[in-house]
Amino acid sequence: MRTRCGDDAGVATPVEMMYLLVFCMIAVVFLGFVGRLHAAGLQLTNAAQSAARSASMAADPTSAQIAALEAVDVYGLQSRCIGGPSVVMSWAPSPSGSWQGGSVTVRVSCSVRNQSLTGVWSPGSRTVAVTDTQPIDRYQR
Amino acid sequence: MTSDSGAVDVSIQMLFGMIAVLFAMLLVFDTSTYWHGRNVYNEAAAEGVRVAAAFDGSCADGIAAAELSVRESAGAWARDVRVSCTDGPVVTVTVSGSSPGVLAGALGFSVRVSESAPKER
Repeated sequence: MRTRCGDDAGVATPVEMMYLLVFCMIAVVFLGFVGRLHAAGLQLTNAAQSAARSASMAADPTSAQIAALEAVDVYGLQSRCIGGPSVVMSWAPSPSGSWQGGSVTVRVSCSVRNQSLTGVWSPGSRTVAVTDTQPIDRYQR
Repeated sequence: MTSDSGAVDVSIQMLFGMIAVLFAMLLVFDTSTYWHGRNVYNEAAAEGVRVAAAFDGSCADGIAAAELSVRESAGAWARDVRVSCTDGPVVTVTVSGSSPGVLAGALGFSVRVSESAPKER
């Protein structure tokens, strides 16, 4: 008659340790993914805020659109987003219907390959989008 | 006699296995603290560049704002923090320092983050 301890001959514990090691490696990759995703979110938040701020200081909606695009260009997202970042500007007029005194909203979105977030091969992509609204400068002419 | 030598083999495997598992767990810990540290420095750089790029802002103000942000968020563990700023049509604030951790002290994990913004005119 053989006991259970005799059956595994002490192999079970090292095998379980291997599982634990694999789990730790997966945890490192996952933490890298979450960290890079959060960093991408921060960068887009700053880009959207900067673009909305630049647009809010423009004299009219046309130049505001140009200012927003120029502000986003500074962040170098062209190489990081699939097909470049998407920048959409909209504005709400003041109670008197004018540009000055209203508010401008800029939405910046960026599709990032999962592979560049995890650091190892992984399929698909993820879209990060951030919106920021700023009051339009009343004194800008 | 045979079973004794088997037990010694397992003990040696356990010894190396435990060292590997402990190292991997510390690596997981250090990875999370690295990304936390990076996010704190990133927030500080963003705060600094917002101040420096303002119409009446300057690089000195931006550096002070970034240093204050690091002190408030990570005064207990932030080490060797250096903040630099370049002025011009595009203002850039760079924050670098060390991340907290167990392995980080020995291996020297360092973080360097830059944020830019167009100067208000």
